[in-house]
Amino acid sequence: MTTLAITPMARPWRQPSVIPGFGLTFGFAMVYLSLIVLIPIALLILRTTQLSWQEYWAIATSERVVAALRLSFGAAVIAAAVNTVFGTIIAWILVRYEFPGKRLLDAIVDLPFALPTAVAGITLTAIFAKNGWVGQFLEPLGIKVAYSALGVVIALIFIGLPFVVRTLQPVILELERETEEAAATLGASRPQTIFRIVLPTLVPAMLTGFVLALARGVGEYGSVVFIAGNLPYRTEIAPLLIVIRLTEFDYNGATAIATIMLAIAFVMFLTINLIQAWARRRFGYV
Amino acid sequence: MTALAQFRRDTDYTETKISLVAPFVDERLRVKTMNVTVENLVKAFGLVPALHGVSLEIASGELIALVGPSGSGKTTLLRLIAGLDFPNSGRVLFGNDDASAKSVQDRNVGFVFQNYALFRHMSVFENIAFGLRVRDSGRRPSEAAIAERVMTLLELVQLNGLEKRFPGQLSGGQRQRVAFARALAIEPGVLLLDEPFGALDAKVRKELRRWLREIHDRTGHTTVFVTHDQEEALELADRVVVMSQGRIEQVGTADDIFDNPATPFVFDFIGDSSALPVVIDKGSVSLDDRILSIDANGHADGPATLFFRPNHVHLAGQESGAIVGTVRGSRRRGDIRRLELEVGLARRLCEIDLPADAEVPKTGRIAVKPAKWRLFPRTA
Amino acid sequence: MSDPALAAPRTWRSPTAEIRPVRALLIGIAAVFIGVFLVFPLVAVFIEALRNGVGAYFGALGDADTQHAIWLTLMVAAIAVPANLVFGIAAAWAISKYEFRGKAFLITLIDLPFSVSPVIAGLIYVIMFGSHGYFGPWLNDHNIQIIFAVPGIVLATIFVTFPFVARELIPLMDEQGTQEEEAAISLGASGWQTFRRVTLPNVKWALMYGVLLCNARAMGEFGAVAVVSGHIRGLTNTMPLHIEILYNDYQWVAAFTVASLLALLALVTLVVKSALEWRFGHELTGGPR
Repeated sequence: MTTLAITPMARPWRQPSVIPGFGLTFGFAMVYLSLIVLIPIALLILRTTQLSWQEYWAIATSERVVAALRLSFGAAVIAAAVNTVFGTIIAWILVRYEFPGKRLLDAIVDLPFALPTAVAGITLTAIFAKNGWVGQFLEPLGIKVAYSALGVVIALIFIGLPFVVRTLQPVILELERETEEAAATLGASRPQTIFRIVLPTLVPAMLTGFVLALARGVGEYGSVVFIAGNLPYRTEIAPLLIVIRLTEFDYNGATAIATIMLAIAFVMFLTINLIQAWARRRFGYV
Repeated sequence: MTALAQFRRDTDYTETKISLVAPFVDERLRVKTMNVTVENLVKAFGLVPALHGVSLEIASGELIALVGPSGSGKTTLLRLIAGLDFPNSGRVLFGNDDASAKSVQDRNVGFVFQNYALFRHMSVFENIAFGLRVRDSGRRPSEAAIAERVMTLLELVQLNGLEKRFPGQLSGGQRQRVAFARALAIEPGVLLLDEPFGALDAKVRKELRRWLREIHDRTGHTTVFVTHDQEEALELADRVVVMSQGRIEQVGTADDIFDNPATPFVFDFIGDSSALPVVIDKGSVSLDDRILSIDANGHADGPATLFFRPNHVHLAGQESGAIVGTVRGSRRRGDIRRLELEVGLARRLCEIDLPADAEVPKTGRIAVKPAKWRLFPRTA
Repeated sequence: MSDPALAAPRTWRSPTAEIRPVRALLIGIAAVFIGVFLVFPLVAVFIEALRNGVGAYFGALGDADTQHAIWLTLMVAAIAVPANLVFGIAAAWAISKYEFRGKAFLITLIDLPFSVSPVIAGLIYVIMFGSHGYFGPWLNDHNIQIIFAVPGIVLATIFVTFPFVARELIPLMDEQGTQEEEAAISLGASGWQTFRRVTLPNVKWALMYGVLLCNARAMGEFGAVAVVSGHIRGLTNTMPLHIEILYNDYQWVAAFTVASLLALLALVTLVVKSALEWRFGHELTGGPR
């Protein structure tokens, strides 16, 4: 963005440049973006106009939809919270400590980005099913993971971890050591420095990571459908309900749920931007 | 001017003018000061040596400057005194207490960092109060006492009215003063400043320099500050420690350092100077086999370096024993003219200052004689 | 730096490091968490796949439907990745080499597919091209099938992998500025020559990085593809979809066998990604990491 003190009216839309190719690249990018992303999404939203407000409201508040959204959102919140705690610890040790296997650990963090969700889904189910590797030990304790809401949380923890770690790592790297030294010279113990100085400084990044993991979790499908029981009202996530509506050729029902989820995603996206704007204003950095 | 306008002006974003009042001792801020003894500190970072056995006595209430080029070990020394790093060997004593084994938290030093290291998520008030708030419940002052102390300090650093601001909303000079107040809040036995004015522009630097001297006189802290700016060190400090390559070259007052440099490094580093390679033979000093009319002053025979300052040189006539050179450049500097002279077979460049109206021969060859000089034996 | 804790007496502690037991505890927590939630599932894939021995493993791979799924997955990626590569380069060029209003908004739009649920990514194409969709009847009349056919799968895959290349290139090219390109132009190079000889060498590793991530996602996408594919065996089943079918048929080993191929792809992706980051870290992000 330019900071020239010219009024927006007088400023041309594009600054002149000697580099050729703007028309070609910008034109192609816009057409492609419109065809693949913008027009289809716009048409999806437009589709809701085939429903009256009453119909839309009835779908949005129907017991099954509310239960699915509550599960998707609730499980994603819990998973994102767990990931924020452990992701912060992981990011911290990856930046601050030297230990054998560090590079391996760092690389593995990206596994959920690289491993197809369906693979994650069946393997998590295999592990946590009642006769599975871990499930067989949890079953006698009365803990049922697979085919329960807990299973959804487990899958979303898997999916969301890298969002938190990768958001925090660069921020921790940028932390000024001097600030921690200053706290120490003022008599603060290491725990006091961590909880009063370091963590508050990391809060914006932790919130951003939390919301990113949350947004991904709410919309997640592949890794969840295998491990969730997919029982209506109980272990059925919102994206699955969209798929079910589609197989019933109930396009309007699917569209209504989809637009609610888009709205949730939009709100979360807005939240991230507000967090970052707030952090920039307050601390002068993100 | 209305009170509000006055308030606005005082709390303006831009640098608030720092008023200088006659020094007086502020009893609210007076602390028990102590002397600091550094004994034989050795420090290496991995295989890279940083300090080679440095010893130093700092008197109680003294304002002392560590000066030297970057990499001379001055910041390392300051950090070892603070306890931010640990020496490979040697001791640091605060008073008669061996502080070597104490962590930085227990040393009770006030440290001001080069980039201030303010807590960005805390207001100015909370920044200054931090050191008091983190104390054990037994030693922690009451809320009211904390508030009173913070306000006293804000007054001292002349930032009253800015306590609710965040560091991001302050100018560089204001941040510097907050860092200062924060360090003073814990009633430190010793105050340590790392390049306190390093990040500020020249005008603010000068202003804060006088202000620091005044604060020091009012509070009486034993203060050690690091700077790479010799002018700052000489102007501000009671004594100056000149460091180079992990060693102390000289400790002394500004007069000592400037008039009686102990080593070639000090002569070269402090103030302008020129150096010529000479040979001492049977009490006479010669440059490229020409004997100079310079007294060897009892220096042993052998190769040596002749140091002199540009302003200690005058034009010589045709008499023998002068330093002869070719003028390579001439710059006017106020009342004087500084000439760059190429001297000897080695074509060493010397700087000399002459009166602006001095006549320089057209040939460009002139003869000069230093009125004051120093000889240092040259090894290798 | 030397470890100060080694030389220092017990009473002295580094002001910016946690004490040893705390460090050990945190590393332990992180290792256990990553072990349980990431490493364990990855290992389980291979163990489950080989549960009935190597013979069963390769037997499952020999299945005709499985082979078709592999072929279809490769083909979809072969279309989607180059398409998004071209888009990513064009978008990065337009955004990083010129100043225009609305740039930040455009970048936001490019990132949009990341914040949309994959199921919705599939849904939008069903709404457009499905039998009850906007263009469904027209397509039907002309005997063109997009939904429940390969074109739909390709479209959905392009959507979910849309931002990968662009978002690697934009920050890097933005940071590199326009000076080198302007110098090349002033020396008489054409736009294409400038791109190929000046810009491309500067961003090649970031480009490869973007393609790598794009490809991993393209081959592994499940949700979006599941919505548009119709699950027709031997016809519109990609590998992830085939895994689901085998799994639901209780063909446990076969499902994990196909899954192990995708897990291998993920491992290769991680290894190459880490190698790129380790070797060319500064060329991927512009600054030193």
